[in-house]
Amino acid sequence: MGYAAGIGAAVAYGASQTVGKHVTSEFATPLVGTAFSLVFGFLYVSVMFHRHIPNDLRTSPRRGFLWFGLSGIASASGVTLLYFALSNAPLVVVSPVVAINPLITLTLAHFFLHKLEKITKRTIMGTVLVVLGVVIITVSKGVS
Amino acid sequence: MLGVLFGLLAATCWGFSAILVRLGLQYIRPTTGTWVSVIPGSIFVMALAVVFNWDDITSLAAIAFVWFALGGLFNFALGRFLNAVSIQKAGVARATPLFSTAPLFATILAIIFLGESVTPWLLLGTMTIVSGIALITSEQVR
Repeated sequence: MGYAAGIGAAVAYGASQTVGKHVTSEFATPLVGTAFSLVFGFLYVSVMFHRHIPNDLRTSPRRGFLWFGLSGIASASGVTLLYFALSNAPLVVVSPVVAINPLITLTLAHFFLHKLEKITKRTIMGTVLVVLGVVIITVSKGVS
Repeated sequence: MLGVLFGLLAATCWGFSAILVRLGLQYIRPTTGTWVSVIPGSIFVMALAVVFNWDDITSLAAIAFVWFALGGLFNFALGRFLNAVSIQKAGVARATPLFSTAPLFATILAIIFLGESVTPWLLLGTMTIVSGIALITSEQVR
């Protein structure tokens, strides 16, 4: 279930990249496209999960909202920094740097989640292969 | 050099984002967590867009909003929710490499819908990614 959801997320993100490519080539800057997509995303999520949200707002610990709120800020900061990166260097340089994100996450998980998660050699090796594959694809697209 | 630095910082921000989701999932469900995480992002990025790209916003074509809506559905409704579910079920260490394979699916979709061509590099990258995924998913989740 967790693996299927991860692949599902990758397909959804892949579709959003394809849509984003069309948006930025035809209609708007990446920043404007992302801003409006986020607003639409908020509306969708509000409708999709309207049964859970009011109850959780009343009963769930505030700490959970804090972590998720900070997660949203970190994610949005990442998008903004990506734009700055792309305005200072070509895609073929920025893509492989950004693609190492899973390795950074593994390192952070080692330090911050050592009580919650065990990181195995197999996970590290698999992650290195995934990063390598993503780098090959993004660099070859950027060069061609 | 500055581009590489910003790229590294972006990757680090996304890394922290995944860690924070994992911490948040101890207290709230992925559904509500996804909703909460989209709020500050919307405000932050919209504020930047208004400050730096106001002229672009005022001249947007109506059809652009259909595409924005599609992008919002894929990225922030489906992608981010499934991302949180995956982190909850498989753990952040195993989930992150899975959803970082998005460029592979973007390329496949671009071949199907935008007519881009299949290259030997794409095949090599795909095989490498599939090997990595096979290695990760062959491990039993506790």
